[in-house]
Amino acid sequence: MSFTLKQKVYSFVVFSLLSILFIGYSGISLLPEEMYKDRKIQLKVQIETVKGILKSYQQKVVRNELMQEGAQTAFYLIPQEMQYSGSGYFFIS
Amino acid sequence: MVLKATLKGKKTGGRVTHVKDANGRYVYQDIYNGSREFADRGGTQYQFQRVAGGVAEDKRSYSLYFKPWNIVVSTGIYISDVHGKVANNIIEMTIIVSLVIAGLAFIAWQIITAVISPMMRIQKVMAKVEATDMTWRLNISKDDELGLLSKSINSMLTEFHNLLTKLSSPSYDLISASDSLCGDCATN
Repeated sequence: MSFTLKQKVYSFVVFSLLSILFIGYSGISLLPEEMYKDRKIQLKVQIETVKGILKSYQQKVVRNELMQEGAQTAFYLIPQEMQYSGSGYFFIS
Repeated sequence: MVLKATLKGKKTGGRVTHVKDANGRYVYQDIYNGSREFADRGGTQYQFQRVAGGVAEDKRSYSLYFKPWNIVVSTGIYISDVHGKVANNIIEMTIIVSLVIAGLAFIAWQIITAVISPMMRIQKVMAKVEATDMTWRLNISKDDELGLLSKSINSMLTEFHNLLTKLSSPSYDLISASDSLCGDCATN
């Protein structure tokens, strides 16, 4: 089977366009799941950051630099200011 | 269970043990239980109002239980925020892919026009030449590879035309001479 040059060029173009569409569609279909995973990781990272602060206050209590009540009062003030990514915030119960 | 701290401006100090979400689940108890899942950390999904009196939305939180102080530190995201960002990214990606496709289609059209059209013209002129009309020449509008090919074909056609003209001139003389000889024969 022989193809004209025009047919070959058109075939190449159509193949390229379909490839781009397929790659784009694959990317878009994976996006929601990937973003959700990413946000869950972000939550973990944020919590670990706060844990670091929490531990530093606890160490001050252990070293008798602060009373536990004073350390807690100081620590509870921190999350009030720690807003992130627009609507992200911490709460302690 | 008391809400000890949260975002600035929001009420703290209230008991939250019996706070329920839209599905009747005890939100803070679930968060507490979730935080005990694995190594004093864990995730919980529930529904929560973004603003007081607003519609309850799906929310995912991650919590840490800090044993020395017996507190649970939590943070969360509204799933609708993720969906909103996904929608924005999809729009951005769609625009980018559309622009790439449009660019590729334009380049392909340019290549097809630049290659196919001159070749069709060459084929047309060669067909005329084949029909013994040696006066046809190609229009050379570009200096690309096909322009150079057209130039070469024009030169070749000119050479052929000149050669045929030269060849046809002596034959014409021969025929004329032959005719004149035959004329003399007739008179004799």
